[in-house]
Amino acid sequence: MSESARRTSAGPEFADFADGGLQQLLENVRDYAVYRLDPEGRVCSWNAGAQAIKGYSAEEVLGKPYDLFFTDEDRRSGEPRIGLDRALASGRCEREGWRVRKGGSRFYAVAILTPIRSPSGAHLGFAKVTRDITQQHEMQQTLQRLNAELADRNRELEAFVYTASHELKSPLVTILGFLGYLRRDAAEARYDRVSEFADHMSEAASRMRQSIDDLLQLSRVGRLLGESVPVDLDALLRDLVSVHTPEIVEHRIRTDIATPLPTVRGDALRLRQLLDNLLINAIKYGSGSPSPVITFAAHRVNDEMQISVTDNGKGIPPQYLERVFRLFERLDRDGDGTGVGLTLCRRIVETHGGRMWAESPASGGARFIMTFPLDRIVASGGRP
Amino acid sequence: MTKNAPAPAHFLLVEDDAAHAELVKLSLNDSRVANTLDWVSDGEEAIRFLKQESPYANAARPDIVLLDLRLPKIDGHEVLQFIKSTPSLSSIPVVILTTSSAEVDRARAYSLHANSYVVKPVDFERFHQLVRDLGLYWSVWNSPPPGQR
Repeated sequence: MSESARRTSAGPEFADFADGGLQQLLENVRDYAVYRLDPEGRVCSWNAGAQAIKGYSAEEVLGKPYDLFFTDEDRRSGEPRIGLDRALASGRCEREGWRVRKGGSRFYAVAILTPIRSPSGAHLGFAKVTRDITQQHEMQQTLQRLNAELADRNRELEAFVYTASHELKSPLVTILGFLGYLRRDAAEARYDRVSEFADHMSEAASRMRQSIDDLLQLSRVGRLLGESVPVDLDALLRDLVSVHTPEIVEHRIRTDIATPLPTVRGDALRLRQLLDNLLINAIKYGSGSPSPVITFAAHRVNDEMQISVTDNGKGIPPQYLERVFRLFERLDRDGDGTGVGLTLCRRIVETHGGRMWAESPASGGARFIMTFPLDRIVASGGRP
Repeated sequence: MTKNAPAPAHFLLVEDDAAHAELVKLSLNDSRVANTLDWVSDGEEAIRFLKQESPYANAARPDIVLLDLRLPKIDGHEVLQFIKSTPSLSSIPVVILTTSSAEVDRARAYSLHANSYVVKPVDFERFHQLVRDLGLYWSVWNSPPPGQR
């Protein structure tokens, strides 16, 4: 049989298929909503896929405007009409966005509208194919979020390496510098500066050792948490206060737990480190006040628990409230800190899903606030 | 040196690390060029010094500023910005003297009109040579703006 003969003999069957078979096929497609709209946008055919995706039966939607499937915002901004107009103007309109099922739940859809015309060109209506791509959309969103997080982490890591290398290089300049001078002096049999130069070198070496210890600690905190257990912060704080009693008594500091601290699910060791650092800071910077007071408090604010540590010392100038959390940042040159404590604290809070910042209360002094998501709060505070 | 004995150059060193400041002083003295050096240890003090605010009311306007970048309170870039945006100070050459070789620091310093950017060498001989050369260059070879020194 020749090619043309085969095609001729297929003719009537194809017309048959187009009339009935294709219709049947479309009616049974389940992954796509395939239906027709009249020229005004009213639904005039409905398939199994449309029912599966949108939740309406044919009886419920036939004759209704297809605006029904749009969100209130989209309806208000005229989105349904825009789709029809664009399809008419350019022969096809593809849109992506949130659509509404029967009952009001939303799904993310990609929808294609095509105008249907008679052989003479009269506008008969539209063919509409809609696919539910909520899952892909959510996966894409997650992927974008993860990518952004990764980029953030990379930037953070870059800054960390840069700061760390600076911090470690600086004492080396001191050590090698004074060593050079000691050698020169020795060559000239000059010994009057030996002890002064050796002091500089030894101080630099201790600073370097402290920086390395701090960096190691910081890198460990950044990793996944240890086992999450209920930690009674109130008991923990009272224990820490007793550990630091000598300094507290020496500086005549009053410690005040204004509202009992909650029990938080988290890494016991890290949470201890967090409160310990904040207590030591408050003792160090609050002790300048004539009658130093350190106040601890816990309050539920919206969907998180806020814990605050407030001293009445000299406080932090507003322009430094954020800088104090930066790695190796020291506001006070005379202090013995290495500028890692608050960086460490913030990282501990963040690994517990919270945030941390500093404020200057109107009453003076400094206040550090950390938050914990409510699902980490095992019990709000309350002492027996 | 062919110049007539110039007035001693007055350096202002802005450096938070006391040991580094001491090393710069020692090395500058070794340059055997007449100079004087004042040292302040953070950015806030540097600005007070340059504005001749208490306790620096009698401080002389420096001929050269040697400026570290990582400083407590106000950092080196901010001090640089202050100097270069203050008409009475903007002509003072500012030499950034830092351990940072980071491109971002260098780019920012030059965009704020630093006159030179020098990375502190870790090696003693090079550090010593560098500070001596800086002393010699800025005190002797460099011609200051008219009307100064």
